[in-house]
Amino acid sequence: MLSELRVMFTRRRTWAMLAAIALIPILLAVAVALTSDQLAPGEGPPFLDRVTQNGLFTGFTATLLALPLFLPLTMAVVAGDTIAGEASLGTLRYLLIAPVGRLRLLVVKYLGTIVFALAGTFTLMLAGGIIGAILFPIGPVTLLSGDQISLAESIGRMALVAVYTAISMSGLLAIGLFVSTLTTVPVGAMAATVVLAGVSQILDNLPQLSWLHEWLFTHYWLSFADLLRQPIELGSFASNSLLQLGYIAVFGALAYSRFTTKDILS
Amino acid sequence: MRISKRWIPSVAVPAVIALGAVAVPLQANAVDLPDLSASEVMVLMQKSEVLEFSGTIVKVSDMGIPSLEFSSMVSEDMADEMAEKMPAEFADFVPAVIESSALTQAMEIVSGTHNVRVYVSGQDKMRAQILDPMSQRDLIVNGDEFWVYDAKTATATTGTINMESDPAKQATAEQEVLDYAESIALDLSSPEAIADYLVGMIDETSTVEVGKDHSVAGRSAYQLLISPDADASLIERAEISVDSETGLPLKVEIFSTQQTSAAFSVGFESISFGPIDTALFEFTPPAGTVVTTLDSSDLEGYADKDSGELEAELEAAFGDSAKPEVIGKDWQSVVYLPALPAVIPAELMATELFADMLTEVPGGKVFSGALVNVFLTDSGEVYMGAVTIEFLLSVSK
Repeated sequence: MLSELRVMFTRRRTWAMLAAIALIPILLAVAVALTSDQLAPGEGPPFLDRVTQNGLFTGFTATLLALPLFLPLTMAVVAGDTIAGEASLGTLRYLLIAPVGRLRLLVVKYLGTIVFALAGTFTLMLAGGIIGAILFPIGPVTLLSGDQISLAESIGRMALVAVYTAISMSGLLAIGLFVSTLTTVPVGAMAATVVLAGVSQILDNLPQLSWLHEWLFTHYWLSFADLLRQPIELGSFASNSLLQLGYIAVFGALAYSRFTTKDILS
Repeated sequence: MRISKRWIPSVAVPAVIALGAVAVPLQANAVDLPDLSASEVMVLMQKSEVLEFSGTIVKVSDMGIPSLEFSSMVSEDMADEMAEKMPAEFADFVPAVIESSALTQAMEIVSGTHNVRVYVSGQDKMRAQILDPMSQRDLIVNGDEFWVYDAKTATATTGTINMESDPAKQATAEQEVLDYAESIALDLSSPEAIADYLVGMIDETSTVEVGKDHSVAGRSAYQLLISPDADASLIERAEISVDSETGLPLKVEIFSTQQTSAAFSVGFESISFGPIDTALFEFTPPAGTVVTTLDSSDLEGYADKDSGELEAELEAAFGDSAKPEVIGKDWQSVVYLPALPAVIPAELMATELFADMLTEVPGGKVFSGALVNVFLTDSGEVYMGAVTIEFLLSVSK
């Protein structure tokens, strides 16, 4: 496990992706700071107007902007690479020659992607908080209910949103892991995973399919806003975790079945 | 070819999840309570004295009207920009953002789903929060003070309710708050208010029965079934779920003769009884909020006016159309207006969306929903009611 993490975090690609994630809030904050005229409340995408009032909100706004495409994209790169990447480099069979069970390899690979998801969402929040503190006034954060919370409590909420978003990604990561066991071409696995995230979000927006919505792994992604209410609304946190666990169970089982029965040729 | 045993988990896991998804809701519905008659349930409801509770209310309506997508993720500017960039063939995909007005807000309540959290402590403290996606609207009543806050526009309205005055005035003041709540989409979310209204309508015109004991928000509940005796009514039945322990109405559902799913449903999804932190009812508008203060005399002004004055005001608001007239009574009442009220913007009538909702009938057009039919005659008269189209047409003659 440790060596897997060491490999992941010594790769230049991992750092490049984390840097790119950190760039989102930075670009956002700089862009908002450079446009001289203040956004009136309610104008523009949700949350954007709040950034100028409180720098700490940058992390939340950045999370909102990164959720539809950018965050799933980086997750898909990491998850799609897990098995297919080793296979394409020809290192998979050496890994399996060592006395390591295939199940254990899968679990370690999956946990590695979860660690990356946490690193990604915390990077987003941290970069957002720092750049926001530099460019905008900070102070007690106003929640959606109009209540204000102290600095310490808002940092707690930021961490909670980061954890929530990482949990939101865990289902997608499990799908990516399964897709990765299907092929030896990592780019294919990555692309397929991103496409699935996109398809799920589109289906979630079609009112005709409302019966399907609560079963889509993207359904609760934007519900992190529930953590910004007072009293805090934890219902969606629970529903989201349960849903993601379901996806992990189903695609984990599929990945296990596929990976333990296939002939490793490379 | 032999299929490996290792594929077993791939089949077993989804099967277990599917089973759980089916079994859990079934289990929740098995409830058996001592039998009560319909009037006993009503008395139980009347005696209800629950004064401290919090819960989540879910409101779903399926009125058979296409829901207007007031997408919170898209602003008017963005929609305009999209319309510019899109090729003409894709015009249908540009989200329709209609300027927010009292009318569109009212339409918004009628269509779609809302989650509302309520906190009630005693008779004079309550907070209701409409949980919009990425936003929130709050109504807070604390003693003689009330606040309305909208996070999306960062605006707040405040005022005082004069509790010192005589009981009659107090009742009117409370009514003002309720009216205000209605204008921001809150009234419909209170099961109590709706249950009271329906019970008031029950007399010889309806059949009242006690339905199956069931479970709502984890509490065992009696169910009152009210079905109109009128053939022409669009309302098939109303179901009121009453908490067996406290008598608090937990859920109200209205079924239309036009569809099988409930046309309107509002009820607790979760509820817990017990004291609530009073800090929740203290509201200070955050910095940057535009606060409007309603003078208490503004509110009292209404109470002092006699009905004649109010009528005159209504007439002014409705412009050319004289005061509405009610034809028939009870479930078969039909409201008649000599002309469309001026408060309905002409642009709305001209939109394609609205035109799609109208069907041609001899002598005019009919707007048809699950619980209401509106007949617009060619000469501009309006008939509306919760009755069938045939009945509406026969009344108009």
